[in-house]
Amino acid sequence: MYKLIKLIENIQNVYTSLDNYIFVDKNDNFYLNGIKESSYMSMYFVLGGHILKQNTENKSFLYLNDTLIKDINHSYIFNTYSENGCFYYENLHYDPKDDKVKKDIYYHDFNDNSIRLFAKGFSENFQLVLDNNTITFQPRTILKSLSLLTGEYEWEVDLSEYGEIRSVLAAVQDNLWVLANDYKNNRHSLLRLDANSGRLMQVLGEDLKLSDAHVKYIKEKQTLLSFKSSISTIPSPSTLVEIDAKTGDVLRNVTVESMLEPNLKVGLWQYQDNQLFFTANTTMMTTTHIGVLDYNTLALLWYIEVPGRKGLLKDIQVSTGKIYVLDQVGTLHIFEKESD
Amino acid sequence: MNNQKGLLEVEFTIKLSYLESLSGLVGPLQTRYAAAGLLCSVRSVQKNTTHNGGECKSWELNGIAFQKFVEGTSGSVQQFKTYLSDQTRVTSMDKLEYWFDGKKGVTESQVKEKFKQMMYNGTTLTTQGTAVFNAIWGNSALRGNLFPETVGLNANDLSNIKPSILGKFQTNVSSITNGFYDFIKVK
Repeated sequence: MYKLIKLIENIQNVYTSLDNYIFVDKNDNFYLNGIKESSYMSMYFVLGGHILKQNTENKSFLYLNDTLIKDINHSYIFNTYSENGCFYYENLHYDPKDDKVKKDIYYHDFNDNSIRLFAKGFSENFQLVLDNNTITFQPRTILKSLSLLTGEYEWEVDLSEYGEIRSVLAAVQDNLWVLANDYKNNRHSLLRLDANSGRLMQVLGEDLKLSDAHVKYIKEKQTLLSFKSSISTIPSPSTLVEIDAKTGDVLRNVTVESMLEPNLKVGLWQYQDNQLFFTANTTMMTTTHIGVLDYNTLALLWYIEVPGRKGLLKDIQVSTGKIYVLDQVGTLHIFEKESD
Repeated sequence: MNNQKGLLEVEFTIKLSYLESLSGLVGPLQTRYAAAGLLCSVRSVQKNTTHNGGECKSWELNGIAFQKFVEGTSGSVQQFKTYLSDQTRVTSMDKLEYWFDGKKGVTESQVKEKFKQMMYNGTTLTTQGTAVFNAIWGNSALRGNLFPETVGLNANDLSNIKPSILGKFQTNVSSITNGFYDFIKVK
């Protein structure tokens, strides 16, 4: 179904969106679709397929394919970039006294082209930007909502009962979804909060085999997906849990039967076009295989042990018709879909 | 007894499977890893089977294994970095456990001190300490868990912030009472 078409060595990261891919080599050079972009010190996908590039003078340029859409006179924090504006920072430094990385945060409102100093010595993390709010957490247990309109915190909630906040996954309608890890009690929870007040509405996880880190929001489906396996010497189930992000209903909580016979235990995964692309172990520790599942039926469509891999497989990304697999020593294995 | 035998077999499988992941990296050391697995106590092995990144060592405090580990010339340093770079399984330091055999006369503090010496020379990070940091840095799940301020940053932001986080890591590993070392256990 897929064939290996290319190997590229000395790669540290790969990103994909639609038909495009970006990879970064071990000297921090950026390549767009395999071509080195010498003028830019970073590139990232934003706004569902646009490419935001930053040059060595800290200016940023938004492209759609080869067309320049917008240029801005500063850097950016990519996960805050929206059509309305973006955050950026200056004076990044580590404060050993507080044991925190601090920065001065600015917000650039694209609507009136104003720039506002938001906070000096800011040490919190931007996790998600909604229409008029940004969600942060700091320390690892307190979730806060900061108003972009007033610059004031609108609410904060202590989630320490559920361990530490791993990530804020999505805001869907009025639901804010948070993944929390309580490693001491081996308990991982999906928390549904009211995005307007921070009130905890629902806790999922007690009867579910949720991944501690690899839970994703599938925008196309408006669902949250956890796909994980456990480690053992015998064929071990890979468990898929799907949750309706609008209602909190558990839509699926199933063992992926099709992976049992080939003894594939899922590692990392990506969703695209009603398919799940995954790395897998057949032994206890070593991620050696990749494969594709039908998202709806969970039928195993294809799998292969990655030929020529060195060490374990550390990442998998997908673009239209291609799979990108990065191994431990930094070789990028590019697979292309064969015609049906 | 049957149960104990089963546990030993499981541990042996952990080692063998991990050898595969190291193939091409430290080939000649493979047999030694397997042997180290068989030397582990049954109790420790049992613990290993319940954790993703379990590792078991039966080293004497002043033996050659620790000496080479501290010097950074041991394959076990590469093995440690390999564990840390596995973003599928090691998504938090809580997912990693290194068990040392207390019958060899080592204490938890002594083992932590050896790990510290491997990574930190009293003033700055050693070459291996920097390599350990880089292994963590390349594991986005573990990096985000240890250093939440890196979550969601793009490559350029990460490059900008990396020296600061390296300083933070150095501070963390410079003290054996830091939570970073909680993965080290002695039984």
